[in-house]
Amino acid sequence: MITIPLTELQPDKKICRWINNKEVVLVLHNDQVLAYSGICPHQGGPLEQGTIIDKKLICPWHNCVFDLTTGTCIDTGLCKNITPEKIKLPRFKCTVKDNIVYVDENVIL
Amino acid sequence: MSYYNYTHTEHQEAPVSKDVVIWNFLDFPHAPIVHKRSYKYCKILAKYGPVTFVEFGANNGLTRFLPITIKHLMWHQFIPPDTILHLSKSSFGTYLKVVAKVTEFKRDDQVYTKITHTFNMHIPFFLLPFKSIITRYLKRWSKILWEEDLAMCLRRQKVLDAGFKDSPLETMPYGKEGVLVNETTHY
Repeated sequence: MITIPLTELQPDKKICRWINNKEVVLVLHNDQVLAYSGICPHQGGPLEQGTIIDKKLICPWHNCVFDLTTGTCIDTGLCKNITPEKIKLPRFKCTVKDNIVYVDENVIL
Repeated sequence: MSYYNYTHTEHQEAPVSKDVVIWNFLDFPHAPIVHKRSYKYCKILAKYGPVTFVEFGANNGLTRFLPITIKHLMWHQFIPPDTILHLSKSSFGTYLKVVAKVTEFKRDDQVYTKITHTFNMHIPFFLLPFKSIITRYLKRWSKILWEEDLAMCLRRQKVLDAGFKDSPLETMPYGKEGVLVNETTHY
């Protein structure tokens, strides 16, 4: 379980934590706290360095685009022959209570 | 007398396994994204086993400031277990042959991989007096590319050590012209 004070999260500034061999990235985007795997399911790219635009996350290695609300890959950048739905970004259960963000890295949405 | 009248060698070393380095060599799609300072685009025109025929647009030197791209056609071949061979021709007509040898070794219980790039180029006679400038350019270009690739290799090793498994999906950026031959061998 990862706990972070809500005040540490700034809009669209990612925070990355490793726990139990899992990389978790937290971000406050459009007033919503999102927690997702920092390892791109394509080839392991560092999603902490990815770009977020309108709840879409772009991997900095191959420009794969993931929908942050569902984890679905909606575009595969240059690699047009991949079927996007075959790769999905794991998202973690994330709750906010008393201004503390709790992320359970064992519960994947 | 050899056709190639210019030779230069670069050495790099990284605390990762040989497999990670070779993976990076064979990952074409990252070139115009991670190496956007050097490449504008990359597309596969044919692939047969360990050989890939690639077209890419270089974006370096003076062309970085101009709205033009120097087109290169490249034969890229992986010769297991440790050699990658490039032979490319630029739109200027110059040929460049690069042989990269990858060697894994241990130092203080840590696995390292050494990469030796040997560049062979045919330089037109009127450019021969400028060999030292070409060497300086190659050193700088190699340094930029290696810094970007090293970050990828270190990351790759880290996630592999954490149990990550590669997506098994084909990832080549095939050209819209169609791929002349498309046979992929898993090695």
